[in-house]
Amino acid sequence: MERAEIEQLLAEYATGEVSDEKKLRLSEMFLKDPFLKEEANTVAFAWEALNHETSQHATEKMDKQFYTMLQDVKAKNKLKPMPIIALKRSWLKLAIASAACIVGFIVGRSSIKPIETIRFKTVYVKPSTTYAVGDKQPTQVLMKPVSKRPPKSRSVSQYHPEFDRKIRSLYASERITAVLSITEKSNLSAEDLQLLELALKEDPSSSVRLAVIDGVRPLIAQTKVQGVLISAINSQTDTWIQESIVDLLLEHKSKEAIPYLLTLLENKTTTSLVQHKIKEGIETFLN
Amino acid sequence: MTDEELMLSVKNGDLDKAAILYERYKNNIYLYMRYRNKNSQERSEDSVQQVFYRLLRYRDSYREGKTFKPWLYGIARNVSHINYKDEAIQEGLRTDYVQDEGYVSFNDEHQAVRCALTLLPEAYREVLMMSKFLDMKYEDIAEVNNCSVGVIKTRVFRALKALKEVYFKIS
Repeated sequence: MERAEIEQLLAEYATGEVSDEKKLRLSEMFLKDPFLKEEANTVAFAWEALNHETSQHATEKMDKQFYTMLQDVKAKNKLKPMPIIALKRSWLKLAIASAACIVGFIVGRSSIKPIETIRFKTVYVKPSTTYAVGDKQPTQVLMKPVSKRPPKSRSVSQYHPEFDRKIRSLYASERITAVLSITEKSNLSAEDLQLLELALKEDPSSSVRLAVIDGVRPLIAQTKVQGVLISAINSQTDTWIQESIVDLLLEHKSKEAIPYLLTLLENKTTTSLVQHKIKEGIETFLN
Repeated sequence: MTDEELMLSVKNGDLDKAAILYERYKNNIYLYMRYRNKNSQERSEDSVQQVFYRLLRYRDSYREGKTFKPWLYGIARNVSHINYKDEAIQEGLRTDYVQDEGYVSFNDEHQAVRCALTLLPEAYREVLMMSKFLDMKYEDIAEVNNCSVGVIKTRVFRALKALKEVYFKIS
């Protein structure tokens, strides 16, 4: 018999799990080899020595803790939702949230007050009778109801939708193209002039404004074209554009421009060069 | 009812059956934990609570047909390892094993046996604790340790022999 087998037998012997058949075999082996018996007694003694250790028991405190814990787990287990609801909980949440949103929207829409609009306007009626200078002229104040929606005036875009889009483009090149395509016409309509005036007054790019001036140069003989330039002369921030307009108006001896040029002359912010040009131009024009 | 039947009842929601399992195994687990926790009563009791708490929490992982004792022992061993790691982190040292030298002599015989047991190599101490304290059969121990029954028997024999030697040295 190999040593490993003997060790296994002795382990069984020590722990008391040895069968009767093996016991007999062991007895025979003990007779043959007394050292083996001694070895068996040694391990059996060690095994017995551990018996005392097994006499230690759990305390009441531990039991109490366990039963408290068990009650807690049971309570939590009862609170658990039913499996079907647990599975569909996320869908339920989503459905409830959607329903709440819809109800909120409907309630909000039905309960909100309409924005108040001005329903009256003040009209001053001037009597037909004449009064002497210094007399106080009585005025009658009437409250006239205003229609909720004032009649729409025709906008520029209705006439020139494409130009209107281009002239309001983010890109200066597109705006210049729009200006040039308008000024190509020999006879400008009121809407064309309105667009050009808009560009000349409000366009942030000086290139676009210069394009307008260059574009209307051949048409400057027309009074309405001169009107566009006159209306825009005071709103110019760039001196050289202002100079160009002044040159153009004086060149064609625009009478209508004289009062505006004088105003510009009196303006302290006007540069000396422009003032000098205006003075010279008016003198030439008068002589 | 067998342990396996009880555990299946627990798994199916009858948590009161866990109390029977607790009564059956509390002392074994407690003894096992005493040696794992260097004879500290308080920590051992806490560890036992953790074992049974895990039993309840992970009851769904128990599979029908599986022997209950090795499964429970697996939980106990995990709890013990986790506690050991925590303790090692707290103390800032990790001594895996046992010193062979520097034995202290004990007048109390039981204390000497306890000390001798703690001085055994881990593999030996483990099989002794499983066999003696958890009252496990050699077959179950072999299943847990993933080895043959013969190996376990040999290990038990050598563990007992080593225990005797250490005991003589310190007593």
